[in-house]
Amino acid sequence: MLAVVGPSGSGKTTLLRLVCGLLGPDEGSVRIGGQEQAGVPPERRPVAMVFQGYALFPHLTVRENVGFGLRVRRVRRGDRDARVHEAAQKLGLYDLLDRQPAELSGGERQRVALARALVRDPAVFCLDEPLSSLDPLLRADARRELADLLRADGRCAVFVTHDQSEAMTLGDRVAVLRDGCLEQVDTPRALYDAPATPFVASFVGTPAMSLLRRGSQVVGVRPEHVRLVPGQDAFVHAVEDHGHEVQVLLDVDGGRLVARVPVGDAPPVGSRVGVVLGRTTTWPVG
Amino acid sequence: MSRLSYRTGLRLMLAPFLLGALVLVLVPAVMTAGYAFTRYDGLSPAQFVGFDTYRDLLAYAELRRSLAATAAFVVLAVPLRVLGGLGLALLLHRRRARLAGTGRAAAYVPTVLPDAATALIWLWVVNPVYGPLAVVLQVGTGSPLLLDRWGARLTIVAIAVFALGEGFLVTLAARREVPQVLYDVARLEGARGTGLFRRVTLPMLAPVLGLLSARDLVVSMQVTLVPVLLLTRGGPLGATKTLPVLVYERGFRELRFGDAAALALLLFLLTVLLVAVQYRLLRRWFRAGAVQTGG
Repeated sequence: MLAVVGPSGSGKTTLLRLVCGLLGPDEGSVRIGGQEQAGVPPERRPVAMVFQGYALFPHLTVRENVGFGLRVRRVRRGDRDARVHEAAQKLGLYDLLDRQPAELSGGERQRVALARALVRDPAVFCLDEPLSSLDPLLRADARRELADLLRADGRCAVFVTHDQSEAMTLGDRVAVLRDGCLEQVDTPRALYDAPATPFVASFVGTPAMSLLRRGSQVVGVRPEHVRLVPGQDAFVHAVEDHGHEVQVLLDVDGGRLVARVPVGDAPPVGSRVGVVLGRTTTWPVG
Repeated sequence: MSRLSYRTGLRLMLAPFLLGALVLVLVPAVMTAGYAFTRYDGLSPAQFVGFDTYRDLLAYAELRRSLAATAAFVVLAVPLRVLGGLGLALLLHRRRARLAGTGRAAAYVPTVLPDAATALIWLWVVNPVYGPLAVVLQVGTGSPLLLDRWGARLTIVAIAVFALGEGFLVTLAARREVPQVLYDVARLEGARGTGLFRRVTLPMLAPVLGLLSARDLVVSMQVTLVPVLLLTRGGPLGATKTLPVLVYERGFRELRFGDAAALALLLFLLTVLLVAVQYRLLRRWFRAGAVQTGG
């Protein structure tokens, strides 16, 4: 499962559209399971797409929405019903087959969109912001459900999100895009521990890695690797209490630093403290 | 400044319209319905005659001819106007296409012209003596356009079709509301061209098209009066003497207000009936896609 993450306009959706064939590449090629896809029309690619906002047809029932693609492909009615039922069963939509999209909750619509992708029996699922139109309260549950479903099926999935925490928790590997360029592809762990560029460092993690200018180098340090000691190195700019931990914003030479400290250990705002940096990552200034 | 309560404000705002509806529509309508059962020339008092007016009207061929003229117009004009508006909307909905802006303006402008002005322009175009279109067609067919039954009818239909701007505008707005992503869904499954139209565009526009065709039907029952009076006076041989024209003739030329009222009532009932039939036929259309995509 590959998560593609990046800020708006970084080319995430364009990437999905290239994979599923709605767009053709200006250069380079798209290969799925080793098969070159240039010239293969979208309906013949082993790819299914779940669109942002789900893109259900409001005038069709759940059954008709799920079976839409089969109908366009002129699959016989009997086959079509069987495949629609199978997908509906898998996603717990069986009792909703005769409803219309307007009568469904956000989570149910998401499952309909997934079912519509599933009936294509694809080798690759493309999911464009699959969780973004859900209520934030439902998102964590939906995220787990989605992960379970895709893993249980054992299929390849590429999903796009602008939310790095979603990418980190759902992706086996995460690709970070910026302005149409790939910055890094790796496991969430490697991305966190060894970001390839300052951009990746500043994009991944909450709070993100702090970046400091040191001569001709950029030094990155995670908040949990900053230790506060008595001293005069840093000015305490602000203290944010997050309940389970406290984050201290420090002004130091070359930039601003965030430190994670246990509850009750925060220095007063406006005081000066010493700083010891644990593990750091350095890049040349680019 | 004194503050009015919401209800008082509402009443004040609505008053002119309610008064207008009462004085200009409701009262005359009730009076017309009453006069429909009388003999009345506008000078001597109305005489109640019951259904005699209808019996007489139905006995003469003129009403049948007028119904035929009305039917010919409605059957041609309603689909042409609705489908014409749809076709233009689909051609011109793209924001940045070449000539689309000019095209949209051109499609709408004829609607802005007053009926009488449009009719006079057409009179020039199709007049039998030097009208450019009439002369060309006469060379082709040998008979003057407006002296031919269907020539005259089609001219009136053409005038109505040119003024399809409002339907065009509504369809255009509705087309722009259709989310692009639905087309992507269909394209992924291999739908192209007419498939996209049939699977996405048409169902998504169906409620609007249903409503427009109902509205167009109502309008078409009445809209012929001005062009017919200016171009054909109902001729040749009553081929374009639609119901509103007949009402006008009976009432304002022959001063037989009882007959005119009876015909007007008939026109009204016929319109209601047709819209009801149409609603039943297109019921699925009205409901289809009536709700927006979620998310």
